[in-house]
Amino acid sequence: MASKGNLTLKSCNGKEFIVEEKVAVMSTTIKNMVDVDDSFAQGVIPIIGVDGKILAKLIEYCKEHAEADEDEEVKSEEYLKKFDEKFVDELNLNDLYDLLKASNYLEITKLLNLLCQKVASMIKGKKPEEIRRIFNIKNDFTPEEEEEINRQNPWAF
Amino acid sequence: MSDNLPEELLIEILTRVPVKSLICFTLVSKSWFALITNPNFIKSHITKIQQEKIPNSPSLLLIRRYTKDDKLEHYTLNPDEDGGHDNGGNSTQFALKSVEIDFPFKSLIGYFRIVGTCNGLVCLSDDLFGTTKPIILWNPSVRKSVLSPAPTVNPPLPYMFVLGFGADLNRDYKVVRIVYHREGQFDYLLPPEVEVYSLSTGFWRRIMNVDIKVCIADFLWSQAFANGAVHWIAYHPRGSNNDTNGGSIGSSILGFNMDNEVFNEIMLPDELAHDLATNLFITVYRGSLAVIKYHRGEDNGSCSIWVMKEYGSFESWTRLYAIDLVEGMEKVVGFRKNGDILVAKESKELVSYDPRTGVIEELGICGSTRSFYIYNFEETLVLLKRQNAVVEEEEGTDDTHSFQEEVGGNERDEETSTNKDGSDGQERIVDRVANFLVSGQ
Repeated sequence: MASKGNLTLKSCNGKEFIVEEKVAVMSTTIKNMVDVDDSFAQGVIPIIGVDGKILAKLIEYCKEHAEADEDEEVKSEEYLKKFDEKFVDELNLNDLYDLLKASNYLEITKLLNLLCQKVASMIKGKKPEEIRRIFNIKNDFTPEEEEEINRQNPWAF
Repeated sequence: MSDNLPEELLIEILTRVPVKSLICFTLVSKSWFALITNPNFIKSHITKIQQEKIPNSPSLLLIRRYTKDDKLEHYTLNPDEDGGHDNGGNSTQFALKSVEIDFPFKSLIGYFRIVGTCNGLVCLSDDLFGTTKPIILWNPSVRKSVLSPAPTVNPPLPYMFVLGFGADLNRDYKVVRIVYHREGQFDYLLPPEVEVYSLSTGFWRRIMNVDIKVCIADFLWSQAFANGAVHWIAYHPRGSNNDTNGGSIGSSILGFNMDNEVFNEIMLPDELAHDLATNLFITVYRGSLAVIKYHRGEDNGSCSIWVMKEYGSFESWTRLYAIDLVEGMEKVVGFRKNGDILVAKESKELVSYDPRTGVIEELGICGSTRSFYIYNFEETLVLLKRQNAVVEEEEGTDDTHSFQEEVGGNERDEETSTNKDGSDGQERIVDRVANFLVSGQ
């Protein structure tokens, strides 16, 4: 049971995190839950489909940004930028993917934008086969179809 | 990463990827191909570029220029860095970083007029001497272009026309053509006739019952697309109400809204309204409609840059800068991200002028004053799925018809009869013929 001003978030594998409400409501999904139903604010909020490891990362991010929103002096824009860079750089591909899905589900817009930008920077300039490997996609073109696409924009490939 | 990334997330990611990579990614899989070439994705990609700052794609300037030396139009992309000046070295840096892009067209009469630019598209017209050739919409980012059919309003000579280019809210691209019948040597008949070409239909369509009481300067006209409307500097003809009833309004702006296709007149502040239309030049400054007024003095001329900060609000007209055109500076041709103004010099040099400090910096780029056109470029996917079709030269009066030119080693698909936009495809003239025509002027 969280004290006043705090919320308890529970991951899908049963880990509980007590966080300040201002941190938790960086997630629009959680904010809506708390706004609509007071009992969430008292009890435990289950975060479906997000495990403890990922939830901890999400909270780490939201904590920094919630504090920065509150007091610009302590955490400057410059500081946040560095934090964001370090945050995404330390992620491996699997974590990046899980965080993307989680921040999408929880509607943490700032983080979602950051992660999408990270993936975009990661994949730009890469060859189709590298993209297939990263996203685990099967090439379903026939050689003839590939040739046809190549022919439409030969300069780009 | 797993392949079951929700499509909404994939779109969020891919709208942040530069155009060349996206074209490359159409080879990843059928679903990626379908996603990237989808018109809705192409629109979202534009929205992302325009509404958010995407660090992936640096700011670029598309610069068109030509000189008498080689009589060729050069189109280059130059990075437009945010930073300030580092005096010295910078100019050579600017020129060194410029990348020439293939220009796949040949003007029959010299050089193209760049009508305007919008969402990565460049609208070209081969109208130096008032001919009525088809209009080209060209997207250099995807190296695709579309040619309009020949315009349909072609009254007996003499007449004159002006063009405007822009997009409506649905991101359909339109060219508006205003045709003035001439009466005597100097007067035009009002109202003019108007037709609109839209990329989605591929046709010219007449606009009836237009309410236009102003004229536009022949040949010297320029246009600016801002706030969903295209604009021209206009003037009230002699003998019109505004002239005789004591009101001294000479110049104003004619606007054409690309959505409802209605014309309207926008008043200019007194300092501009009292000047001749031919001393005024219309442009866009950081998204706002702007007018540059030139004053040609005996020694140095000067110019002032005015911006309508709030679109449609007469009170919001503000004079941003007054510039003495010293050291041979002749014409304002563009605006940079760092606040500098790009100015063409009589000596055919392009300079970057800092209006706050007065510092003038040569950029190492040459072109005649008239030749410069500078576009704060946006890389978009518009026209990606179009076929660059071959078309016969429509006049057929000489040997120039039906020549084809291979552009950039691009093996063209000969089955381009399936031209989806219903237009006549793209004009291509063999180099030597066009060169002959240019040199034979």
